[in-house]
Amino acid sequence: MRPAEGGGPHGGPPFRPAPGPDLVGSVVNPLWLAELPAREGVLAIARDPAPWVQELACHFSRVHLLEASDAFGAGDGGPPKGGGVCLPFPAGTFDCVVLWSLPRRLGGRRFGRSEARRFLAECRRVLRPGGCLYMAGEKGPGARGWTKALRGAGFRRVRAYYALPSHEGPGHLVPSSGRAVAAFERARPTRGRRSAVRATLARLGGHRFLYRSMIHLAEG
Amino acid sequence: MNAELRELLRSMASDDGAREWEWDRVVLVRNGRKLPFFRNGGPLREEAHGFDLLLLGPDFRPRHYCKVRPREDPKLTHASRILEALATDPVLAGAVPPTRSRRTRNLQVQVTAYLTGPRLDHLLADMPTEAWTAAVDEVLDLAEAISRRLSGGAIDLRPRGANEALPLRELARSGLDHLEEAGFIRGVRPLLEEALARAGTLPMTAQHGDLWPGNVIRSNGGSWQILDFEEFGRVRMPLFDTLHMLRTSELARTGTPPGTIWLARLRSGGSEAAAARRILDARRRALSLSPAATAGALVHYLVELAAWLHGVRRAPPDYWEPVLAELDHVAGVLRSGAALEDLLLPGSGGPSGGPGRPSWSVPGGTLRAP
Repeated sequence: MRPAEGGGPHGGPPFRPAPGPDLVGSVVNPLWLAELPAREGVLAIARDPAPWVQELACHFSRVHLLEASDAFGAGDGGPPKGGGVCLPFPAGTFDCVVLWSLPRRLGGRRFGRSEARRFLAECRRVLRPGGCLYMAGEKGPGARGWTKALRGAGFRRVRAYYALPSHEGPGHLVPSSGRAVAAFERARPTRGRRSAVRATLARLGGHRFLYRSMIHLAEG
Repeated sequence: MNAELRELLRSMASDDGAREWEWDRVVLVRNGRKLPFFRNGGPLREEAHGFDLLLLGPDFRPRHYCKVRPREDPKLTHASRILEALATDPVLAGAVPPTRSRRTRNLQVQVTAYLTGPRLDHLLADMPTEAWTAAVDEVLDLAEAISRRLSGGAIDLRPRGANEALPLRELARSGLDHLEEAGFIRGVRPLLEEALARAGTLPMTAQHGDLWPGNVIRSNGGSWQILDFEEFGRVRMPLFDTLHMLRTSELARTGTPPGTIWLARLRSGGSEAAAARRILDARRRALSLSPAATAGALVHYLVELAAWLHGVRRAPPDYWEPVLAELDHVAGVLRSGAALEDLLLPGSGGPSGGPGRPSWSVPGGTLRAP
């Protein structure tokens, strides 16, 4: 039951998800949009151990957590030592790799484009054939290049989504195309001038300025 | 996309002959709690919500709305059975969206046609009072017709062991218990129970349970369509839908700021308040309910809604605080010695009270979060 104060479902969705219990534990659901050949092992690379890592245990038989500093071989996710990154796993170990809150760093100055590409290639190496990389984070200066970087790292199929209100509580996941964003904005029940402007902006190609978080699903 | 989900969508929402749903035409919305790919032993807990999908056609217009839940989700099963039963009714089929549902090993999916008409809550602000009351009446009539159709059908809407009629005080007991345990109604429970006791025993009728303007669509032909049947039949107190629709539609209609109390607006008089009172009066007369029973129904509605939002849904405070504020107002009226039914029904003489009645002096602020 939803009172008037909170929005509600109809032929179209409510787009004002209330923060709180409803969004707890929703972080891994976007993986339903990916093709996974199996769900045996997952590698989660994050800055800190997070509650959503437990959520992965509902989807995979084995969960391996690697803190970002260990993954990059340097503190605070900085540039890798020795000019390279080597994940300490044999090739084809995992069905899924989750990169959490790192993309901004990957596009930043301290972590150069070539290092980012090498790191993503390393993620692909530890994936089984057909495995999936789930990359979530705030958009940074290099956001537009992520899809290209993932393709450059050898990922076969890359899909980019905007996450609302954030990648940490992705109440909605909108494909990053102008037409899909425009449709989403038009369908919002909280209509008004703001929604109309956003829909128009999306149609004109300005959709990348509307949201601050992105999720990429890249199949190897 | 996951193969199981992809196959479900392909079989249930094949779009213009397309064999697959392209990734950029699937928008994930209302992402709730986790929907595991498989069960790690044991049944899924009730709070495993799942998510919804908005499926866009080749022209990128919304075509279908799809709810994806765990296979055992009882609410979606319930809603799908209702919608599919109504689809076979020659009169009521147009009152709900065409729906298909299916289960697989892990998933339960309900696909409905996307309704393109405007929602009632978007129309309310521009409606004159007469149009608003007519719309509310039509929607309530439709909800009652659906309830009658389903109550006589193959779907058992009654909880196990439910009687045909229950004392309202008994019906509200679990809600009162929850609110008292949560510390919301300390000191005022006897007042509320007294109002419930005066209502006596009411005939039970399955209610929609979430009949607010956002769940009502006006079709292109001008008729109304009702959505979201997951809670249908949970509440069986006969005026629940009426009170919920009146409260939420008037608040939505006037674009009231947070903190506005509907009952206070009713007290303030004016044509809007008079219209709401007339609707409620006509509905309670049709059910042969006394004014005291109507007042008890209001208390039950607020108690049930607040307890459900706070205790069952565990919704954020934005959801249940306004309902508690209404209950606070009721407690204030009862404490002042005024008759609650005078607040709700026409002929009370307005905010200053009728001849011989005590004037309202509502202290408010009696309910506080612990």
